[in-house]
Order: sequence, then C-alpha cells, then structure tokens
Amino acid sequence: MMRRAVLIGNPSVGKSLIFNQLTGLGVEVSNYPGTTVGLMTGIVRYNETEFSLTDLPGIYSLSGKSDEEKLVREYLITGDADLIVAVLDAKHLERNLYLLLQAAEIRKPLVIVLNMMDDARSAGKIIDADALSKKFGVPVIETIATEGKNLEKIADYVIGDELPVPIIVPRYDHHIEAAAKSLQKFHNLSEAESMFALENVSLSSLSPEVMESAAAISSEIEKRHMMSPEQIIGANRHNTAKAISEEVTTLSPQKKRRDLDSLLTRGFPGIPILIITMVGILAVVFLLGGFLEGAIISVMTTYLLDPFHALNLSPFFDTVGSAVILALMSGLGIAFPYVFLFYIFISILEDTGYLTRAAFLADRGMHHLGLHGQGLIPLVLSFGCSVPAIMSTRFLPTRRERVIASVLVTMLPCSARTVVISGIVASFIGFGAAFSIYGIVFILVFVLGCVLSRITPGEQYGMILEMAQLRRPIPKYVVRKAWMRVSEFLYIAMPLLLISSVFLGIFEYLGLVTMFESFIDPISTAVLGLPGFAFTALMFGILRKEMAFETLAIMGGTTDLASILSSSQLYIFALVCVLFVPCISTIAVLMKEIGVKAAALITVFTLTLGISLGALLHFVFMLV
Amino acid sequence: MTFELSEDILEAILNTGKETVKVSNLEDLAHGDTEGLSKAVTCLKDKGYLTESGDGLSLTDKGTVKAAQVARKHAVLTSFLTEVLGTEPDHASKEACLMEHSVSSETIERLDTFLEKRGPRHKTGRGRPWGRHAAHMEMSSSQEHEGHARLTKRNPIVSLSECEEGSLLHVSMIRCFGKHSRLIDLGVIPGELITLRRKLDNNAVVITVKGCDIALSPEVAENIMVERCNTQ
Repeated sequence: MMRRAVLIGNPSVGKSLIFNQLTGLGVEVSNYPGTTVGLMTGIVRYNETEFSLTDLPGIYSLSGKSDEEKLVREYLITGDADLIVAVLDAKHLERNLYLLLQAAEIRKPLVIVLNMMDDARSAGKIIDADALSKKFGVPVIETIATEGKNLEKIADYVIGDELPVPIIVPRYDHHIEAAAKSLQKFHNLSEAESMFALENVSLSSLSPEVMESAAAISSEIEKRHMMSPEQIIGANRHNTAKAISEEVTTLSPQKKRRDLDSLLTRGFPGIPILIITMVGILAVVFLLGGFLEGAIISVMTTYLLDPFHALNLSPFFDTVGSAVILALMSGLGIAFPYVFLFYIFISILEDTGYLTRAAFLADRGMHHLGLHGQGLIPLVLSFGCSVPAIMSTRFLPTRRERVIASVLVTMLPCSARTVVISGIVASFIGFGAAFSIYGIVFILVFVLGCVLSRITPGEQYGMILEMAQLRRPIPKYVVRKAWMRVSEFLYIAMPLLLISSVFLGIFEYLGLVTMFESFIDPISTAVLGLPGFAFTALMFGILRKEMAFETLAIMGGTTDLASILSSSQLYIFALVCVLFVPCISTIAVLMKEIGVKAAALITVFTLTLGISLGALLHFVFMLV
Repeated sequence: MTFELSEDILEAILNTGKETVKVSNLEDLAHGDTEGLSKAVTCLKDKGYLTESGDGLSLTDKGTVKAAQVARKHAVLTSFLTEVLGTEPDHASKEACLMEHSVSSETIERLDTFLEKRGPRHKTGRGRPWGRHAAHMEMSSSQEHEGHARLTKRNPIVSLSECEEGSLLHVSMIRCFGKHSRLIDLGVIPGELITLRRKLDNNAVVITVKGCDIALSPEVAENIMVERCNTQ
C-alpha cells in the first residue's frame, strides 16, 4: 500500500514549491468532489519507494467558511492521509503556528516543515527547532525550498517506520475545555471534532444533533463571556501560539531593509506605477503575442495544413482533417502566445509580491463593479485573452466575485476581438468608429458591473489580504508555474475545440453550412441587416473570434470588405461579433471555473445582448 | 536606575510616534546623566529592543511590545490614581511614571479588572465584549468622559479608519464580527498590538499584525475599534 502525505500551510509559505520539487512535473490535477477547488496530487519516487503527495490549498485556519477551508478540514478529518506535512514560514512563525495548532489537534501523524529559514535568519530571527519539536512532540525539518535544501528529509519521514502524532494541547478557557470534554463524552467525538462543533463549523462527521447540543452549550458560554466561543477559542490559540513562538525564537538586532512599500503602496507614486505596469504588460503581450501567434499559424499552415491538403484524401477526410488541424492551430495559437506570455508576467508579479500591492491600490475603483482589489487582475488579463483571465478569477475570495468577474471578463474585448475591430471597423470605416465600439463595450461593462454588484447573490466581504513579502523572482519557478497553467489550459480547452471543429467539418461536408446560410439569410437580413454569409462568419467566430473576420473575407470572396458590405453593415457585424457568445475556449474555462449552469447563462446572456444590440443598431440606421 | 531609565527610553520613543528618535532628544530622561543614558541605550541595543541607524534610534518589534507594556502600565496606574484616589491628573502622571517600573503585570491586570468592575460609568473598553450593542455602549461612555479629564486619561476608542499612518494601536474590539472571521485567523484579536502602516485617502489601510502586513478594505477597517497606544 502506497503511503499518502498531504501538504498544508498558510498561503505563500512555499508549499507549492516544495510540492513541485518533490513530485516533478508528472502531476495530476483533480477536482475535489462538489467543489471547484483544484487538488494537485503527484507521485514521489524516493529510495526505491513510492508515495503520493497532495498539495492542499493554502489557508489561514481550519474553521473558516470558504470552499478551500471546508475542503482542507474535511480532507484532514475524514481523508485517508497517512502523514500531514505542515509547512510553516519561519519568519512569521507566530502567525503560522495558529494553523499548526489546529492541525495538531486532529491527532494524526504530522511533521513540521520550517521553511524560509534563510529569510528568518536575515530578519534576525533564530528559531530553536529542537525546542519546537519537543513542544509538539513531532519532528521539525528546517528547509529552504527555493534552494531545495533539506527537502529529501520530508520524504524520509513519509516513508519512515515511525509516524509521530503531535501531543501538544493548547490552553483553552476552562468553560471551553469543560464543554469540549462533555461533547466528547456524550457524542463520542474526537478533540478536534468537539472544537469544530463549539465553533459552529460544519463537518460531514458531525450530525445535526451534535451541532444542536454544541450550539446550546455555545450560547451558554457566549452569555457568560459576552464573546462567542469561536472568538474565545481563536484568542486562546493565538495566545498559545504567541507563547510558543516567544519561547523558541531568539531575536537578534536586524539590519535596516530598504522599504520599497513607501513607493508601491502610496497613492502617489503607487497608482502611476500600477498603471504603467499594467499597460506595459498588456502592450508587450499584445505585440509579442500577436507576432508569435502569426508565426505559429503560418508555420502550422505551411508544414501541416498545406501538406495535408496535398495528400488528396477523399473530400470527407479532407474536410474533417483540416477542421482538426484548424482546431489545433486555434488552441496552440492562443495557448503559447497569449496564455503563456501572460502567465509569465503574472507569475513574476505574483512571485515578487507586487500583485498584492496592486490589489490594495485598485480596491477603490473595483468597488463600483462589485469587486475588490483582487478583481483587477482578471480585468487586466481580459484585454489579452479571456481564457487566462477567467482562470485567474480563482484567486478571488468569494463565488459572488468570481461570477461577477467572469461575466465582465467575457464582455471586455480580448486581443482577438481587437483584431476584428481594427481589421474591419478601423480599416474600412475609420478610427472614430472603432473607438466608439470600445466606448459602447466599456459603458456596457460598467453598467453591467453596477447591476451585477446589486443582484448577484452571495455575501459581500471586504478585502482582507495578506501582503506578500517583496522578493526577487526565480526565473526557473516563474517559467514552470506559467507552463503548468498553459498545460492546464490545453487540457481544458483542447477537447472541446477538437470536438466542435470535427462537427463543423462534418456539417460543412454534408452541406449543412450552406443550408444554414440559406435558412438564416431572411432572418439575419430582417433582424441585423446582414446577409446570410456574414451571419455564418459570425458563427465561425465562436471557434476563435478573429476567424469571424477571416471567414467573412473567404465567404465574401474578397478582402476588400467595403465592396460587399456597407459601412453600417460592417459596423453591426463588428459590434455583434465583439459582444456575442464567448469563444469555445472561453466557454470551456467558464464551465470549469464557475460551473456549467453559470457558463450557459453567460453564453445565452451575451448572445441575446449581442443580437439585440445589433438589431437595435440596424433599426436606428434604417431610421436615419 | 538603568532599568528604569531603559523602560523610560522605550516609552519615550514610542510616545513620539516617529520611526526614529535622536539620542539628544532623550537627554531629559536621564536628568543630565549622559553617560548613564548612553550606557542604557547600548544595553537596549544589545538586548534587541532598539536599533540605531544614521537618523537615530528606532524600536524593534520586541522593543515596541515592551514599550507598549510600559505605556499600558502607565495608563492603568494614572486611571487608578485619578479615578479612584482623586489625584490631580498631572501629579498622577508623574507618580505613575515612578510606579510603572516596579509594578508587576499581574497587579496591573487586576487593577484594570478592578477599574472595569466599578460600574458602567467607568467602562473604558479594554477586553470588552465585541458585539455591536456593546460597541455602541462603549462609544457613548467614552465620549461622555471626554470632558472629564479627572475621570479618565485613557485614549478614546476609535475606528481604525480614524487613525493616522504610523500609529501603534491596541485592538479593543471588532464590530460585525461574523463578517470578518478571517481577522481572527490572521491574529487581529482584542488585545493585539497593531501598527497602521499605510492609509489611502479612501481609508483603505495596511496594518502590521504579528510581523505580517495585511491590507484591509475601508469597510473592514471601520469595523476594527482601536485605542491609540500612547500616554499624555
């Protein structure tokens, strides 16, 4: 039987780094049942033995209500892990001990990993690992994950003969202790379960009756202390953590460090720096991404598509096969230039710790849209590509914010839509008209944000965000992180892209596309004032937005679009194309991140919005 | 003598509310004994309470905690002398300055509890309940006292959004607690000392708790009730 170990710890303590270094790249991402929280599991081979290692999401406490906290709680209590590997940031030992104390109470085998020992030392903190180990009754491993130092010792403990169980008992208020004891006795609960019950925290192993009797005791304690047990227990744990931390830490005089935060988090020059950073990233990704995408498409056309046509297969295989190649081209054409480049930049921002500063500064502006500071990231990303933008909504703390951000992201013009706007409107009508499309979209996004912030269900929490330490990013890890996200994108979007392309190919072969065209022509002309072939081009835009533009040229038989469509028709075409239905890759990611139902709702909403706005415009143009 | 002087130095630096303080500004404390002063400063640096840079002396985290403890003793003793014994405020403050060095932490806690038990008129909010109702009660009682210098010298309890950048604060309570339970996880609990690092003009703040910087939205900051950690 293979041993199973899980990594737990606060956010940004280097957990994922340890995970990546131990497991290498052969990692499987799975969804924990009933949630959208991704769990990463990998197999580690060490000294001819194998064990599995799971990276649980970073959290501050086991008692919270967020999806991540629920997941970790359930996993630790009911899961089948053989060993909990608790990763701590040595520099912030006291704060990190809080979660460790909670985890220790579960009384499952545990080892403590004191990570970032180098940082702690340079901050003048010397930690007595042996004293800490005696306190908890489990081994303490001192590591520096960025250098890979001592990580193999973790593996030693996982496959070792002894699995030590922590012995530490935090000192609780005596009413709490008495209540916990009686809950344990009458309902046959473990220590940890009785604490969760008193804190009114749901857990699958706690029956409603247990929760009820715990609630009765809790309200009694609350009356006496004028403070809820949740708060008392929290304060008790913090006091224990403080006492332990003071006991095992020796402070030495520290060197004065330069305080970049006095620049980065002030209104001035912080906000100009923020704007320059964001616009700069956007510009680089846009230019470089566009160039790379063109290169990838042309290389694949020359070496894959053209040779394939040259094979002279039967018409059916030729159509379907080229559809598959086109899908591959769209997928890779987005994945590498845009998703990968963006994630390189985002990983740099994340690893330097700048991202949290940006979120702090942007908090105010985001409030109007029903979002908090963290919402800045998806919105900025969305100008490049909706796919990484939606993937980044998972950093948002509540589902409510994730939904609002996803809707706004699908509306904002990504680079492919910018190609449509510049290729059709700017070149055939004029720059003013092109900007007016941006104007319309921005107004719609703003209004939508205001409306959504009022009607979206779910509680609104203010931003409580730990500022990550400012540090120099390590190129190797930046690239690796970006790479993992690209592969995740390919994994999500590729199957859908392939399937839908094959179907389109078959339809085309069977002549359904022409049938659709003649069927839609009267409707399209009446509603949008667009001929049938233009509407078919719009449908191709679902595969990849700029394909609408390319298909229009192919179906119209000319690149001089002004000769086949009037200015008002081109304008309507571009506007509808920009607004309606996100592309297949976006829909795939939406389904993954916020669920099938919400994804379907967004798709239907944008479809309706695009068509009705197009129809309205057609109506207005007819009147003028 | 050196021990008392050391505590006075820490307290004085904390009270200035500045990051760094020049040694020359501390000379009053030593009553002309410059040699004793420099000896005490050296000793404090050795123990890791102070650091010295080009612009002067500054408190380390450890030093700040120590200084706040002394400041708290001072505040509790002054309250006791003025509220219970009716001593003149100025005189009480001087007396407290002498007593704060020898009194034990336990006595201070008991004295504090004693002051709080003396009835609702004298409530000052330390270690008080966190409920919304209680918050209002305390706000009004501390406002009531503002005109009565004889009754309390404690600082009023205000929301975090009303404090200035750089101030050292003592968390008194958290309103609308249910919405902000993450604050407990991060260590923002009553009794904790926090520093207000940064405040934007929309009242979004960054605080330092347990050595970590945490950014808070304005609506979260206004629900954290704090007491400024300095004495007159």
